[in-house]
Amino acid sequence: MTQDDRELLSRMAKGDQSALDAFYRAYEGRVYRFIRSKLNDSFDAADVLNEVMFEVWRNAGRFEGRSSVSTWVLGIAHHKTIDRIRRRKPGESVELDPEMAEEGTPDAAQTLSAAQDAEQVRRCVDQLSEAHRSVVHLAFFEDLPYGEIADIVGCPEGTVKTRMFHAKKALMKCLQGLKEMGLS
Amino acid sequence: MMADNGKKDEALDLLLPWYVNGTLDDGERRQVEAYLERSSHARDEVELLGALRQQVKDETIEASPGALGLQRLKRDMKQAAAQPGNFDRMAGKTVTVASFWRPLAVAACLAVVIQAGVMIGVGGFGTPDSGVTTATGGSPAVLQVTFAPDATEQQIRDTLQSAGASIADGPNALGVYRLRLVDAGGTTVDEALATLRASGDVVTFAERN
Repeated sequence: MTQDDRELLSRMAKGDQSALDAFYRAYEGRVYRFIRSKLNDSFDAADVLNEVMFEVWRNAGRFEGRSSVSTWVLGIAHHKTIDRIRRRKPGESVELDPEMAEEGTPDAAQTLSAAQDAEQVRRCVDQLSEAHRSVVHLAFFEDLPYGEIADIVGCPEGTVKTRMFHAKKALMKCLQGLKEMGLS
Repeated sequence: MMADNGKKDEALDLLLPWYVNGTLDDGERRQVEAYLERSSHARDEVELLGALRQQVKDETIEASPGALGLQRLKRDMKQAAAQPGNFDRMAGKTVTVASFWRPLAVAACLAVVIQAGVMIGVGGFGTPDSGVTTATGGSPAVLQVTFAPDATEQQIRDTLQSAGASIADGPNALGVYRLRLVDAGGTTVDEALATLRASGDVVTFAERN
């Protein structure tokens, strides 16, 4: 699959639109879902997906093979999404402060039942910061190793690990809060 | 010794999410497995992380743009190639602007006319006291819709009025409009969504924003 994807990029660099069709079909759903997990807005996510695929088309010849194709594409999606978030008005979304969220974090066993409720998990994930949602999505939806996640989001591996740790704590606090309110 | 174990356990805690997703290398995985054997805290964490991972995987979202998105991409590629000084990568020739700009410009104008017509229509039927909001009103967009290609402005206007909604934004390149609820209408999002979905000959897609 990886070799096939590299071949597609090579053909795209020569202007082969049938290769673009195949590449788009292979990656569109995955890239859209990643963007959507960060933006919480299908309207904007469709716009950013278009920007990502356009950049892939324009820069296909610049892919150097130092990472996998999927890492390269998701990295472009990450940066395009960050650009979109920065253009939004400040204060548009309220996000959990991970430092605050860690105060009085409950035990894992206490929050397990809430973590098995899809709606409550979705609500709590939505309240994470963009940086924390990215890591959660890449680790748990994409099942990527932390090194590859670090390449995608452009930070050291240790930062990826600590972001995931803080995200987990924030989720536990949020889930416990919903549980205490009788919402799970 | 205790301090060393504590520090090591903290480092191993950071690896647990990647133990759960199965991407640790052999050395790290063996260290985590030894940690799990001696720590009930670690076992609880792994169980919780496994549940969270499953929920993230199972979450359903709306369909991605699919074929419409590819059409949009190709249209944008053509537009970019038509910019002065840009060349079509496939043919290595400058693309004739008029060959595709004209229909795109016509389509864009039609979209603006339809949107303006809907906005004027909604505003026109509202009285100063009715609280009917125009597209520049303050309430947030809560719904997304696409209209049938052959839907008339009158049909769109009637549908929006019956749903208690007005256009807040759009269309984007996929033809998606964002709607807000009319402030004084008293309609809930669920009610508006049900009304829009029931208008199958006019509304082809309706979902929460």
